[in-house]
Amino acid sequence: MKPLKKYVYFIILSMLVGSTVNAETTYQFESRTDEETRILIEDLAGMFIAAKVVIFKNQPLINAKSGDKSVLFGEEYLAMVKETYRASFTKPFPANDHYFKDLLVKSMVEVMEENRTLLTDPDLGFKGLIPATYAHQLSHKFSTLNLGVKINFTAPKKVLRNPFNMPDEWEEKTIDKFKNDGWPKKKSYFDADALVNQKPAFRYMTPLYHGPICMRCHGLPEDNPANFDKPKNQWTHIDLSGFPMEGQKLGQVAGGVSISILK
Amino acid sequence: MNRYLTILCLLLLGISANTFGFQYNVGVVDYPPHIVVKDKVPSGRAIDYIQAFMDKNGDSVVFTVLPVMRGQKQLVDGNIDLLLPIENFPVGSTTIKKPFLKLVPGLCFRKNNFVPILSATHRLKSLKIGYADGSDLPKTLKESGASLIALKGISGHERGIKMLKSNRFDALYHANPVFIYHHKNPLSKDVACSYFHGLTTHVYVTVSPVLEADKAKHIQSAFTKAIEEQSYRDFYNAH
Repeated sequence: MKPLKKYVYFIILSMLVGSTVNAETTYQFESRTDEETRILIEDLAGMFIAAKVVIFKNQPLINAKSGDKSVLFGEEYLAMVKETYRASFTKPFPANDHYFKDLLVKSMVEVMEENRTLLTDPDLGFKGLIPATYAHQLSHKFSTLNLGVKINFTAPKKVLRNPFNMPDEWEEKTIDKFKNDGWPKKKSYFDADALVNQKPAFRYMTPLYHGPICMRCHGLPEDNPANFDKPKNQWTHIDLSGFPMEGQKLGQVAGGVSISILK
Repeated sequence: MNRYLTILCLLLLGISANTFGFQYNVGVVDYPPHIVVKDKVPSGRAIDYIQAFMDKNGDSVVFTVLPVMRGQKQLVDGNIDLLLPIENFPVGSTTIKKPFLKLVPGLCFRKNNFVPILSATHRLKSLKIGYADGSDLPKTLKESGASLIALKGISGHERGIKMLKSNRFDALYHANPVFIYHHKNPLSKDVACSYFHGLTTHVYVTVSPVLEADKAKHIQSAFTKAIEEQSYRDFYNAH
């Protein structure tokens, strides 16, 4: 075949096959040892909890109608999360040595940024960005990145407020383990041979307990700040966020942070 | 000989561009800020996006502004080839496979009546809530016991905001309230929105069920490719 004829065939062929389609990519978790995976998940859980605690501690600032709120965004916010992690777990914030950790940190900052208009609204007092709603937004953002990782901030069905955080069977059974008197307090549970939607997965859950401030919403009417200056016959059992209080007790298992990674 | 072959190649390239060019009649519905209708003329970044990718493909497009329900009927009857953006697409029609937009829906309130956490659905029970006709309302809202009022016709969102501000509704449903409640939008002085976090509204481009097969196949593949190369979300953010 003469060179020019080849050239013509090449052009025609290029025209026919020229339109390529980029497949939507998903992240495939690299196999690690069970122990390495457990450490990775534990780091993710700790980071998630620290971010949630920051929201908890900053409720007065979050719900203020004025003032400088720059610490709630970007690097300043992240510095608070790292400091909170250090204080809560008495060790440094995990190194940014894995894609998942990097994306979780980015997701934390993004969620705050997405709430900027709300957080800086000069007319609204209670903003509704409480640890539970923040945790839900963060876990949803992170879990929809096609990483095969899912974080669920869940609770026993009976006291669950947001149906999107509904525990699955594995999570329900794990919460039951945590409630068992024989289970050491704060001990997490790791399962290297679990399933998520019938697919093999690493699963991990760490328990959370009701602290004194949790009682304001989840405890009894006498714990509700809205009732503090009212006679008992005028007390409400509806908390600040609009939910009926569940009558939970101090120190009781409130639920847990559940993380799964598809194998 | 060489010159003839070169001319032939150029002709083939030229013919291909024209041969594959189709004209599409595209129905568009009011969907601020992506499609904004003023005096029956549509504008917005969704219009720019469609125009840009049609131009790139050598296709041409004619936009027609329609209310959602009439748009769906025109689509089924074949009077328009495509309709967008649509949350609830009519029976029998197909969609461009990839969603055009993924949005987190929510409710907008006057600030003195703000409900910050929408999973507390009992707080919605006695409220009068407006929504643009054709919206895909979340199940949780439908089952909340709120009185839901459809706003028919063009510019349902804009009318809804006006009605909300003038106290005729307690809340307005919006598929993507971030564009209303944003510190750069003056509306956020009067109105605040909260979200159905965890829910995603998929917004599609719908294709007429009676569109000629070659035109349908062409737009399906071209649109899917365009979304993969640069999603509308990325296009929106970049401009």
